Amino acid sequence: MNASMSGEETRSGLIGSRLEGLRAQLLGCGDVLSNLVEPAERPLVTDALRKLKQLTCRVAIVGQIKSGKSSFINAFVQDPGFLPTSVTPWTTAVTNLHFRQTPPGAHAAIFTFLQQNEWSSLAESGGRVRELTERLVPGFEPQLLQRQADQLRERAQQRLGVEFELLLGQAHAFESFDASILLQYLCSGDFAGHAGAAAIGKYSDLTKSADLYCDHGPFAFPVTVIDTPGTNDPFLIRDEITRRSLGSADVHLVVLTARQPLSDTDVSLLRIMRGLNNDRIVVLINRIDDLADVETELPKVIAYVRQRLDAEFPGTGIPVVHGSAWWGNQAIAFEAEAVARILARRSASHLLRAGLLHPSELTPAALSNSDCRERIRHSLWAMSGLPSVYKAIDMAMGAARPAFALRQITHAFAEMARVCEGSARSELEALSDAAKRSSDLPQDAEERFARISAESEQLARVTANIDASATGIETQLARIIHEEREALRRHLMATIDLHAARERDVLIDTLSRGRAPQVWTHEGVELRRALAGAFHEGFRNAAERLTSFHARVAPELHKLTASLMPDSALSDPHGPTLSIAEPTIAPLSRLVALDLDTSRWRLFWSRQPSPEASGARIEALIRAEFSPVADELVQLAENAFHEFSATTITWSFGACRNIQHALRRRLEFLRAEYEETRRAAVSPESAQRATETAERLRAQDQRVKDNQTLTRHLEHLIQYMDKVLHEEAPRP
Amino acid sequence: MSRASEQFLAEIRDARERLIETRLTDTALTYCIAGLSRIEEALRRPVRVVILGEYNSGKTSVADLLIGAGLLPTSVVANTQVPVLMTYAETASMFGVTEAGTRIRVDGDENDPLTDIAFRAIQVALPLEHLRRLQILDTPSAASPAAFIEDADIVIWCTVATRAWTESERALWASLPPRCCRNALLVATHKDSLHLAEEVTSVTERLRAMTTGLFRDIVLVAAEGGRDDGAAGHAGATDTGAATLRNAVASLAGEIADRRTHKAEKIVRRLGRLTFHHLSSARLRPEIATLLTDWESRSGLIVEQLTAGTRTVPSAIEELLQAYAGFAELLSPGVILGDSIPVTTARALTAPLHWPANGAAAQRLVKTLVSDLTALLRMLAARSTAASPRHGDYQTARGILLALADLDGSFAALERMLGSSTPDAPA
Ligand SMILES: Nc1nc2c(ncn2[C@@H]2O[C@H](COP(=O)(O)OP(=O)(O)OP(=O)(O)O)[C@@H](O)[C@H]2O)c(=O)[nH]1
Ligand SMILES: Nc1nc2c(ncn2[C@@H]2O[C@H](COP(=O)(O)OP(=O)(O)OP(=O)(O)O)[C@@H](O)[C@H]2O)c(=O)[nH]1
Ligand SMILES: [Mg+2]
Ligand SMILES: [Mg+2]
Repeated sequence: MNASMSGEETRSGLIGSRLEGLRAQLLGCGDVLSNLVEPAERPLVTDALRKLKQLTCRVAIVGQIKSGKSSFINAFVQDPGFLPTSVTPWTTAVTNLHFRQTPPGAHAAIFTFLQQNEWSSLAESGGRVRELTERLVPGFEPQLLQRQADQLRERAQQRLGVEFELLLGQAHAFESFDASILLQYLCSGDFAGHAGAAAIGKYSDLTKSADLYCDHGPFAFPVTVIDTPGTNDPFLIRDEITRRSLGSADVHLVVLTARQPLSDTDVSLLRIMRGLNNDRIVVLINRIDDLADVETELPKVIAYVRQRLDAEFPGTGIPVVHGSAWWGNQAIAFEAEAVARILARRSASHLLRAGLLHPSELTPAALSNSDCRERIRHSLWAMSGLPSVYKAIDMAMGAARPAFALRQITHAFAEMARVCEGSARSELEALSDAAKRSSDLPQDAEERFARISAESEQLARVTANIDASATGIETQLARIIHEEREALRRHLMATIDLHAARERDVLIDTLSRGRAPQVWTHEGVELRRALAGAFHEGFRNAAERLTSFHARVAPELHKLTASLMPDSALSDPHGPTLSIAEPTIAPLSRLVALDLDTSRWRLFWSRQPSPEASGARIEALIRAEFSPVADELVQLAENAFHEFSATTITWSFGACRNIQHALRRRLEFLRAEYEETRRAAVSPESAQRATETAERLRAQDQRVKDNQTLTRHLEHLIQYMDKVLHEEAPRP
Repeated sequence: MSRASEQFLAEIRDARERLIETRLTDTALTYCIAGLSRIEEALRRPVRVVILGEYNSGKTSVADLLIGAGLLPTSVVANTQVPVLMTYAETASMFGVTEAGTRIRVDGDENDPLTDIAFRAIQVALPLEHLRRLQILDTPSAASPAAFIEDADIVIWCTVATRAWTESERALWASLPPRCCRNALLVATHKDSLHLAEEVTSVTERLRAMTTGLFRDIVLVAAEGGRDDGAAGHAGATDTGAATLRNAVASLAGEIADRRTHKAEKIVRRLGRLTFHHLSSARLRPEIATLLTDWESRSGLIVEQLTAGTRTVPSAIEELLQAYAGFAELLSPGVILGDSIPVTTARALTAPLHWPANGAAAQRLVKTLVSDLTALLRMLAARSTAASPRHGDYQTARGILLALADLDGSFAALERMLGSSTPDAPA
């Protein structure tokens, strides 16, 4: 990053600093914990620590072509000129900017090319739209797509030679990179294909994604900022690349342009987003500097956007921020010519709002005064909207997946810490008992041995019991997951069938009244909404069943364990440990044949012999198109269930096992001690043994204290998270 | 409007006036006069420019640019609610068209209670010279813009230069009937937002590449050039594109006027011919009138047989020519035998053509032939009446009509085939 904005907001905290604070503390706690748990349970902690270290937050920047996404990212990461920008559609590949992350190997930039099959699907058969068209109107040759596919192939050949296909499935990696490299891989290049611009976009048609490793940027937490090709590009192939990448982010920033804010296309994009991550969307109205009279026009634009958002997504309270990426970039780069141009626009008067400038200073002449320059710079930054974007993204991160993961790990650690503490305590007791008993008579020792043996037997019994029920629980869990998955599938299919049948009836009715559906296109939104609802409901039911199963099983485990160790400190599951994060519903955003535009539908109609035939085809089509979507959704849900069982339930078992292992160790210690006593009766070295015991006692006492501190610390963290992170998540 | 068009307009206006002066009372003539004045009207109708585009794409601003007056309200949020038609009138006026189709005059004042009525459309008449020749329809952004293009002569699609031609725009444009592309312009507004000349070039190049075959021309404009005071320095400042846009529209309008004239010429010829025949036939000697009626039933029968499939195309033509020769001889003895016309005519009619097989096309062809032969016979009949003029006015009317009909080259050729010219046709 070549310059940094020392604005108040950036100084007051980097993005994700709270999450990073939590993560750092948890890493510390985990280190302590891994020394406290029984060796057998250590891998569980180590695994959690590994997850913690890999935790990143993925922030995707999406929006229509030319809304200023790449420019915005440059301002956002405070490196103007980092990503290439242009006035024509430009970004061609999904670009991952990794901050605070270690690259694999020594590579700072990795460009991944399309796979052979992906390329053929795009360049030979014209991509998904083409495939769908074929399904809708077989044999219909959409010239546009064919032309685009041809163009793609020809250009690749022209830019890379006939052997270009050898690159497919490969990747190019660089130890360092600069703008000229990015231009080769990420930009569409000159439209007219001028010879001079040959290097630009050389590999772009083949590049699927890029991974760029940057240093810290304005981030405290490891963040991946994702630039995407603009949507609504008539070069449909690009739209497809973006659509495919949408599911994977934790936070989405939707960039609008102040001039045509929240068009229908934006709304449909938001619909997809909202399906993906309910609360984790931020809307940015960019390019406010394009408005002439910002003071009067901006409030109108904001009101319009809010009003439309409220109408489309009632009760979601999607945060809306506004600004200008141009201003943000120039606050950092401060190129005299560009700043002069900014000041010359009427929108510059909005900069006065920062309260740092006098109206008379809004002239290019003011640039010759260094004090004035500084104030202009700060005004630009303040009014660029970036400070509010930082805040909004930071908040959204607090409600996103990484925060959820942090919370789960904290809860798991806390329980384990409590359990360890209990074990450590009873071990301490055993030790001090032993110390007191150092003068035991042999017959007392015999009596004790008998008790130890009895306890060992009980332990073995309980352990066997727990193991048996563990197997039982696993089978039951698998059954529940299976049943719930099927229930969810049925629910989704029923929704599709119902919709398809209704659509068929409406259509037959319309057609038999002699009204041709001139501009009829299937309203995919309604079915998608219904499916999202059905999924949400089905998932919630399943999650409830799973968590209540867990809530039922855990106390039983605890009871069993309690028979071994009465004050085991196992707490029955409650609160956030009992929730399963709902997966994204990205599959709903998949393009289906029913989404194709009017011209194709017109052909479709012209080919149906009768209203009934039309109706039947539509019904079949809706079902055929949406059942794979339902399948994908079901798969995602199932993954989430397995994930739950693999984390929460595994940790519950882990805690119990930890107790068993601790107990076994203690019994072994006692047995050893018994042997020792018997030997000691033969060779009296009691003085040395007494010192040893005292030493052990002190160590164990310290262990208990450490453990106590850890438990308390983790409990504090839980409270903090519940309070700070939870409250900030935007609520309806 | 091109000079040729104007000249043609002047010609038919003159013909019409002179026909009126003849003071003949004849229904055919009355129809002809009315027809001519309708054609004149149609020719004089201003070319209608319909402006379409997504919301806030600058449609209203472009309409304003075309009128050349900062009259229409524009806004940063969706603004135009109903289509607004701008036309010419001596004095400014404004009408609202209600759902029921009633036109209500409104004065545009915000306090006017009528402005609250939900109008379906607004019509604004203004005393602006531009509007004499161009009518402009500004539209609201709509999911189906097809509703606005009914009477469109020129269609303009507005797009914002900084995000020009998106998939949604392409899909909307594709949903319009293909004839829209014939006289369509793609206008990218906000040219002033492009700072460098290269940017203008690359936007234009992309538009050309993406919209091949969809528009006649692409124009970038700064539709609000005067608005952004500090606009100096942007690429649009050197040329707002307004003149280019006006020229592009004017040249399309010129083409349209020429096409209209061409079409009108054909209609006028037919009208002239028809009236001429009617006018003449009203004055035919009874026996000649009977002859023509006979010819009509005879040729009608042949066509019927053809339609019924009991006669082939060549035999129908043969038969028709035979019959024609007979009637022509009766009407004007010697005309056929003397000039051996049937041979020439037959050759003229058959040589360059491959007769289509019996079918709709063949029938149409034969019917055309029948009507041409009928015209020839009427011509002969009329000439024979002309030998005894009863009326000076009648002569004049005949002259005017013949002149109108004469505009038809093929008609003249037919006349020439008869080997003589009408004595009283003007030179
Ligand atoms: N005036 C102004 N121009 C901007 C602003 N943000 C971006 N631009 C300009 O808009 C154009 C497009 O910006 P990009 O960043 O390439 O847009 P994008 O959304 O990444 O575009 P694609 O990747 O093609 O979808 C460039 O010329 C930028 O300089 C802004 O806030 N104000
Ligand atoms: N700077 C600049 N502003 C423009 C230009 N064209 C239009 N605008 C502004 O863009 C906004 C929208 O323009 P309109 O002409 O109202 O757009 P419209 O397409 O009629 O909008 P609707 O009627 O709402 O669909 C207004 O604020 C205009 O002043 C241009 O070329 N340059
Ligand atoms: Mg970009
Ligand atoms: Mg408008």
